[in-house]
Amino acid sequence: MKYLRYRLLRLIPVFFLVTFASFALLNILPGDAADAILGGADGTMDNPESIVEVRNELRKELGLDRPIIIRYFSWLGGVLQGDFGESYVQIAPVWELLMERLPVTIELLILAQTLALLIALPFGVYSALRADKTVDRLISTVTFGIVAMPPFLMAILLVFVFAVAWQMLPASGYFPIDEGLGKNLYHYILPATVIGLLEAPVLLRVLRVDLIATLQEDYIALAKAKGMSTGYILFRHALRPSSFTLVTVLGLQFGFLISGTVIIEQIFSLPGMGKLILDAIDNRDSMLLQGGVTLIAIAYVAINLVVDMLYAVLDPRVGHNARARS
Amino acid sequence: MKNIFLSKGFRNLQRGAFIAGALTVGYALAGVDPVDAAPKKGGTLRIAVLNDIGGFDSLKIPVTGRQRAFVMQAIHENLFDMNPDTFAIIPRTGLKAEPSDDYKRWRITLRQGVKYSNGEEMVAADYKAHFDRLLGSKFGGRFRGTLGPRLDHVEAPSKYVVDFVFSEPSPGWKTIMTLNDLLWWVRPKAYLDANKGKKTFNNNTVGAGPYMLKKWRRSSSIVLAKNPHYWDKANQHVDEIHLQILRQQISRFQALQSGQMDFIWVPPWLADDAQKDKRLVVTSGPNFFAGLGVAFNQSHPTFKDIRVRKALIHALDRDPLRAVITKIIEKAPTHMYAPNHPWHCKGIEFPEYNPEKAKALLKEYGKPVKFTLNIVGLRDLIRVGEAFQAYWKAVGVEVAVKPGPRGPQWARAVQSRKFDVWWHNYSFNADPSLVAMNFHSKSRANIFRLKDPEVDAAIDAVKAARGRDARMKASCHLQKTLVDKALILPWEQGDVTLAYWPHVKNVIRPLSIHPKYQRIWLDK
Repeated sequence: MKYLRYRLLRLIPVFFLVTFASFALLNILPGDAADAILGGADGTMDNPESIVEVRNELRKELGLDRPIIIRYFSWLGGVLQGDFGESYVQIAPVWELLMERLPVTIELLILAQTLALLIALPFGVYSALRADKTVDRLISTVTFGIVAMPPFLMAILLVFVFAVAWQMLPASGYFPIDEGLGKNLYHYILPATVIGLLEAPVLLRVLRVDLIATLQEDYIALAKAKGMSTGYILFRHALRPSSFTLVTVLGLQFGFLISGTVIIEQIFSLPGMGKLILDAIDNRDSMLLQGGVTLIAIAYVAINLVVDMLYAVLDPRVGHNARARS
Repeated sequence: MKNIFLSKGFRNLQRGAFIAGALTVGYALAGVDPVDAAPKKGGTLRIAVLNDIGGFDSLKIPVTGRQRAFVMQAIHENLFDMNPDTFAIIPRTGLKAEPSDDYKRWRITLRQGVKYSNGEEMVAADYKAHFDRLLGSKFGGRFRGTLGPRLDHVEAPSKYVVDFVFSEPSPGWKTIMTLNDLLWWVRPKAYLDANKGKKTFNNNTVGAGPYMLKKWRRSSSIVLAKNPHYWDKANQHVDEIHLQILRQQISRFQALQSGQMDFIWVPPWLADDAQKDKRLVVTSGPNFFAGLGVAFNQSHPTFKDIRVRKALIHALDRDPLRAVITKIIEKAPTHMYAPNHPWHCKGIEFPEYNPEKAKALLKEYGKPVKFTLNIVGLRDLIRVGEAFQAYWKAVGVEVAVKPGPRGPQWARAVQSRKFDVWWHNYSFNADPSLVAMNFHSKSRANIFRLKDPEVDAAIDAVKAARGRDARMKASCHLQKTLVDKALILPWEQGDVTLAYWPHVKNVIRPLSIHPKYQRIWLDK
């Protein structure tokens, strides 16, 4: 409990630093939300007659005519009372918008990470068992090839093959779960595959290295001497202690990808967190950006907390040591 | 063994084939598309749009916006429409439009029995309430002059009669009533009253168009369903229209190619790819409501000299530029209006490509010409800007290309007037009195700071002219003045390309970037 409190306290400076930095940076950029509303995100604009007066009125209404520091603390005051404010451009409560977008990204990440694990676990284990053999080298070559490929290239390639040429899968778009799970998953196949394929090699390499090291431990040799089967040794005694780095990387990647899936979300037009933040920057929508950044900062800390707790599950000594320290 | 050629089934098949063949020949002779002859009802039309709409309250979003207008045209219906082939003005929810002698008042008789999607009848009081709300708001000044003539107020002398009252003559108002603009997104007075001050007001709307809002998922999709009370059921075909928001142009195109979408609007740089995909149908049409050109900021000392302006126009070879860079196959505009535009004036052409003439004019001018070309940071425009730069450099002009980010910067640059040469979207060329406002010294839409008494006089004459012939004459004179003075060089007259699958029928020739998809029916 004390440890949890300590982790939550660490969130406070992170929160201030991140939110103020994003707020200030957005204000340095030319243009503001009033320009975005009047200018149109697609670069088109209505008749510019009387645009100056309208812009001034709009800025006043949105509170953009106030100094940046006042706007920041006004936003902060709202957040402390649970009010994230209203998006300037989307004209809806920020919290509502975040809660609409977060599930899209979370679902994408769960599917992608599951796929990545499904690939990484068997191939990583097999690669470790056959270390430095032809199969291991072949797996290494393929994984390096995939890692070297930029996400957008893989996305375009998959879209071209599976959507445009074979018309098997949708090229882009999103359907929420309440409109049918099948339809929903159908639209996630390509984006989740792209992220999953790009994630898998990293997890695979990490697992392989740790597993090779574990397999050289004395207790594994002892287990072999006892006549235990390879499968039993692997899954009962070797895999768990070899999963530390895997879990750490998985957690960090999950946190990073909450906002880092922006390219994939753009290509597949998924209305997720990455796209929300990009739109907020594009529209100079500081309210929305602040909300998004806050949520991501919280998610990062929460995920790392979960990862820390998982360590204790994987190795009870970790939990015991932490308790002893506290 | 049974002879299948003598079987009853085969004979029926033969008979069917004969009838089908005869009908095809008959339709061909009659010049009628056999499929178009019988519209089918039902189905879902899937369209990919580029951006979300932000909402439905024009006081929250005081601009029409390309995507908003695209969506709203199916929910709201204009008083009048324009025939894309004859340019005749067709009554829709308005039956008659009669101007006063001085063109300062237009009396509109509404069609009776038109109902909104909530079942309420559309009456004149709704127009009055709608315009009172817009004109009485803090953005009233803008709404008053949005479409050219200064609208003073709206009256409702009787249940089905609406009067638009102007502070200046407005001969082009009937055409303006056909434009897809937020002014025409009218809602019932009772609906406005019931939702006054409500936060949710921006999230929904009620209109008298063929479709109504069923679901709106921000940044994701908009679903429109049939308006059960629509007055013109013969022109209401598909059950639902799904508008999927796909922000990348290439994603929209791929979604069409994959069969995920039925119909999209294609940007000029993708038109060629669309043509190459033989599975798709591609239709193009000039955009009669807008044009894009290069205009010179008249406050810049260099551009005050007509020789410089003419030289810059003579230096550009637009046809190969358009074909190679933006992949627009049609030739560059030579006139203010395209040849098939109702206000086209034959023989009033912009200066032709002649680099030698350009060099001679610049030599005559005698001073170095140096300026910046400001462009919106759109891929194709940047490439065009760089090509312009090369052409101008070839005649000895020093030019820097300054691309700005899309959206905010674009509005800022226009507002500040801090630019030398700008890509000008000289919109609203549906009527000469509208395009004129881009050039009049007293118009706030004159972003080029043009102060030319001859141009002002020509514009005033256009506004004052009465009757089609007089207006045409005045318009031609204005066009000649603008061309002679080399104030603008048109780049494109807003060519619109649509791409769709063959099962999509009744695609009306587009007159603007808002093709009337609400009239489409599906043959599947």
